[in-house]
Amino acid sequence: MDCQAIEREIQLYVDGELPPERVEALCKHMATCSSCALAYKEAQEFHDFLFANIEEVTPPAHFAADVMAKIEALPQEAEKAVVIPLAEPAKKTAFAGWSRFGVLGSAAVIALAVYLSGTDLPSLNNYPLPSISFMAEEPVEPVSDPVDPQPSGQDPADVTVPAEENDKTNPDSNSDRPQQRENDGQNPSGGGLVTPQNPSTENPEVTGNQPEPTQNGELSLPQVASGRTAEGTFNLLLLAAHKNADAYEPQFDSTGAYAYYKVGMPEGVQNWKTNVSPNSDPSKTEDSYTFVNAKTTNAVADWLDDTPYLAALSPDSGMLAANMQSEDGGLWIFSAGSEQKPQKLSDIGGGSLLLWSPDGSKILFTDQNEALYVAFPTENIIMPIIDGKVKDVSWSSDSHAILFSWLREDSKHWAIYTAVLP
Amino acid sequence: METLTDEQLVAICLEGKTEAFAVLVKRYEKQVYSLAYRLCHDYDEASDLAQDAFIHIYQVLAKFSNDRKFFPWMYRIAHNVCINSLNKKKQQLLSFDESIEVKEDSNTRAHQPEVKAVADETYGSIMAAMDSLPENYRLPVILRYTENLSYQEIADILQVPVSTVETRLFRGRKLLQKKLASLMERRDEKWTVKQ
Repeated sequence: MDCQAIEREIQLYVDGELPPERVEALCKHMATCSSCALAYKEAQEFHDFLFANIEEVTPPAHFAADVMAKIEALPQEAEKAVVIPLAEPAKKTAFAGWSRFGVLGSAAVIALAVYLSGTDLPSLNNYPLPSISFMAEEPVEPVSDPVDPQPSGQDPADVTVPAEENDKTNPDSNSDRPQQRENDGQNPSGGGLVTPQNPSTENPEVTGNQPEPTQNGELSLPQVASGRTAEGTFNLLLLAAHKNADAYEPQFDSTGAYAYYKVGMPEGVQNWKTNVSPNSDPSKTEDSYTFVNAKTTNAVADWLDDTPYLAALSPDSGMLAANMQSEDGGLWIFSAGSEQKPQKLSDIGGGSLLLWSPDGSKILFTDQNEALYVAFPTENIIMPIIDGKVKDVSWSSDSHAILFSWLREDSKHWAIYTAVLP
Repeated sequence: METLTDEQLVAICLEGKTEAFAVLVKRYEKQVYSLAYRLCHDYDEASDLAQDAFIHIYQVLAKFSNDRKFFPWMYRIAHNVCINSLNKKKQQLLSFDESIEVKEDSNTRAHQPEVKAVADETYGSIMAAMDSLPENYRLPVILRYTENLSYQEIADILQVPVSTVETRLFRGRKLLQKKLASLMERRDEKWTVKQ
C-alpha cells in the first residue's frame, strides 16, 4: 500500500469507519513506516481535539411542547403539502423525461421561470449570487408529455416531414394526450409549447451524401430578466446531417447568417458551409475557418486541488465558472480573484464543455453524459437545451445563437444544429 | 407509541393523530436543534429555526415515501429549511466574534451551561473554521464532527454515495486542519510549558 492511499485509510480508521479486514493491513504498514505512523498520530490528535472542544447543545426543555402547540394551531389547509424553495442547486430529476429536442425540459423551465417571476431575483450587481433557491422540494412537474419530433419506425434519413406531420410536435394538437395545463395557449406569460413553423424542405444531394431533412419547431417561453417575465423564443434547428459521415466543429461566420463546419469523409476532412435558417442548404466549401473551443484556466482555488474541472473566465474577467467533473460535479461560479465562497449553480454538470456567451449573460455547459444546458446566472435558471451527446459548441457574436454537433441516439453520425436562445 | 419505528409513527400521524408526530419531535429535537444552532450560532434563533423545520416537516409529511429512511429525509428538510430561512433574512452566518459579543450582552442566557462552551475561544475558532469551508465540505464536516453521525448517515442525508462522503470529509478535514493549525500549535505550546 502506498502512503498516499494510507492517508485516506488513516482518516477512516480514526473516524471508526475502516472495515475490520483493512485495519490489520493499515497497522502493519504503520509499524514499518514512520511518516504514516506520524500522520496517524496527528490525525488522531486532531480528531480528539475536535471532539474535546465541541460540546453538545440541547434544546430548551419546552421545545417539543412549543412545536406541537404551533402545529395544533395550524389552520386545516396548512396541513396540505406546502412547497417552499430549497436552498439547494437544481437536480437533474427536475428535467427527467425531457425529450430529445429539449421540448419538455424547456417546459419544466417554463414552470421554473413562472415560479421565479414572483421572487426577488439576484442581479449581477449584487454578486456573488446568493444560494440558489429556485428548486421546489419536489421536482418541477412537467406540463406536457415528451414529444418525439421524429415519427417512430422510420429511418430519419428517409423522412421528409410534411407540415401536417410536423404538427404532431404540438402537444396541443394531439387529442389523445390529456390536457395537463388548464390554460394551454392562454398563458399570459407566454408559456405555450411547440408551434411548428415552416415545413421542412429536402436538402440537396451533395457528393453522394443525403442529408436528413431539416426539422424545426419553435418554443415560446417566458424569459425572466431583471425580475420581470418577458416573452422569449427558443428555436432549435437541424442545419446539416450527413448520412455516412460525422459533421462537427461548427462555427458562425462573422455575420451569423452562415455556419461553417467540418465533415469527416473517408477521403479526408472537408469544410462545409450552410445558411443558418430552417431551409438550410449545406454545400462543400473551400473556405477555411478556425473552430474556437472552450477556454480553460488553471489554479482556481486551493480547495479545487485534485478535483478534475473545467473553468472559464467570463468575458469581462469578473467571474469564473467551473464545470466540476468529480463526484462533486456541477456548475460552480464565483468572483474571480476573490476569496468569496464559490456558489454552486447546479448539481448538473461534470461534462467536458464550459463556454461563456460573448456578452457574459449565459454559460453553456454539459453534464456527465454531455447533454447540453445553458445557465442564466443573473436569473438563476438552468435550461436544458438538448439531451444526448453534444460537442463542439460555439456562440454567435450577439450571444443569442449557438451551433453545436449532436449525436442523436438513433443516429450513427454527428449532425450540426443551431439553437436560438432567449 | 415511543417504541414504534419512525416510519410507523409517520403512518399514524398521517391518519390524523398528531401525538405520533410529537413522539418524532421528541425523538429528534436534539439533532434538529443542534443542526440549527451549528448553522446560526444563536440559541434563540436556533430554537425558532428548529421549530420552523419541524412544522415544515409536519406539513410535507404526506410526501414521505416509506421506502426511505425517515431520519435522513427529515434531517435534509430541516437543513434546507434552516439554510433557506437564513438566506431569506439575508443574514450571513455570524462570525464567532460577533456571536460572542451578542451572547455576552445577553443576561438571559448567561445562566445556560452551553454559554460556557460557546464562549470558549477554541470552540469558536473551530466553528468559524467550519463556517469558512466551501459549502459542499461544510455540511459533511459539521455532521461528522459536531453531530457525530456515521458516514452512512451523512450519505443518506446528503443523498450521495458513501465514497463521496469519504472524499468530502477527507478534503474538508484537511482544509479544517490547515485553518486550525495555528490554534493547535498554540495549544501544544501551552501544553509543553505546563509540562
